[in-house]
Amino acid sequence: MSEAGQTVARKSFSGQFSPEAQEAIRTRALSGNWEVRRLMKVLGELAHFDEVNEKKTRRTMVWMIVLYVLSFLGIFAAAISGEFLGTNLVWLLPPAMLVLAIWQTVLYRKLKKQDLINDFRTCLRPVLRDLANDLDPEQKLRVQMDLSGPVDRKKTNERPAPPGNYVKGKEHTFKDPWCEVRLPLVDGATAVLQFDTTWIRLNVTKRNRRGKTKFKTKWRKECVARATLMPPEAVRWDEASLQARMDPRLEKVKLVEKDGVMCARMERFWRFKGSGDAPGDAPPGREVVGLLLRLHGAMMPSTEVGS
Amino acid sequence: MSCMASAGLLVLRGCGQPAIGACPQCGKALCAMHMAGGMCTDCMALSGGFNDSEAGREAAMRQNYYSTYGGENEFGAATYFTPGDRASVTPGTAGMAPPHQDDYDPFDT
Repeated sequence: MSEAGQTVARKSFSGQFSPEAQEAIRTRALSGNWEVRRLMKVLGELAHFDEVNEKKTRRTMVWMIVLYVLSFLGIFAAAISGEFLGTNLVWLLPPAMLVLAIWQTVLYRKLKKQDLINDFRTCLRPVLRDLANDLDPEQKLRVQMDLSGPVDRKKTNERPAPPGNYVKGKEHTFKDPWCEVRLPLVDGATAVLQFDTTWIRLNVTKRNRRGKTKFKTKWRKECVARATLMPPEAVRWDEASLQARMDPRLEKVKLVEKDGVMCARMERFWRFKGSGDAPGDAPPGREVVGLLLRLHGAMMPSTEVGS
Repeated sequence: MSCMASAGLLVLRGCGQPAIGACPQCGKALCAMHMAGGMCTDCMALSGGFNDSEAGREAAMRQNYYSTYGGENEFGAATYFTPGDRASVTPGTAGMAPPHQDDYDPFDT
């Protein structure tokens, strides 16, 4: 398929989606006030787009490598077959392969630029699905999501890599508070979920035993999910049970005052590693729901205050 | 009479739809949706059965969450983290250490 054909195919593929999903794909962001069903539908569309896009990216990368290899081997093949066939036309083969390989490279870069972070489909979507029956159908969810992942504008720090077995290296840090979602619950309370990710990319140049220079990229992804439960009126928080129910190595809990009402906040930490590409792993949605479940379980009626 | 089957995960409450029968195990009044499996979805989830309906899936999920994090009756019981959860954590991560004070080895895959 020609490049124009590919573009048409891509347009028609994203054209299958709702206008909101198309806008989110274009801007790699989603925000506003949403009904839960509508939001779930748009997130479903985005998840489908992201999965298909990832498959296409992988396939394009394989073709790109194959075509570069073939264009190199084509030089030898042309030299040998040219001798037997007595024609110079076979010499057109290697440059043709090279042009195709370059075209695949351009396509690969375009697809990579469209890629969305996986966290919204592997973490946030299951959370919303599990909490769907607890959300007030009369009220809208306030959502602010940045799905672009570690891009240059989020780079906050660049420094020499920590000491290690390599010639030179640089470490880049990207701060990515990618999601804040405000969930009105049926009992009048409001749950706020915030997801902050810090991406750390390490680019190093190594020399192996044979003296060859190798380039390597390593990624570390540190995620924090912060759940805040805001009751509709003054309540008493069972702090002892919250402390007993948290894992102090990965979680923190504290009470915070918002608009004169005491709220409880719990956060949990995860860390993922990857090499080459940024890690696609995300916090399990189940563990994020667990934060809210424990917070809600520690909320006690204000009538019991001082009893 | 209205359906007494449980709905929700954080805010556990009665379903509230008009009842058409009762669960043979616990005697709860049930609506048509919650009667679909022959018994209430909570009893079915407790007996390990699986009712392939929205209500059945919700009950199974709720049961699963409560057994992990503790339900109303198990408030304060400290069995919320599996051995797998604990094993996945290295001692270096205690207290959510800041990024540059941990055991990060750039060549450790």
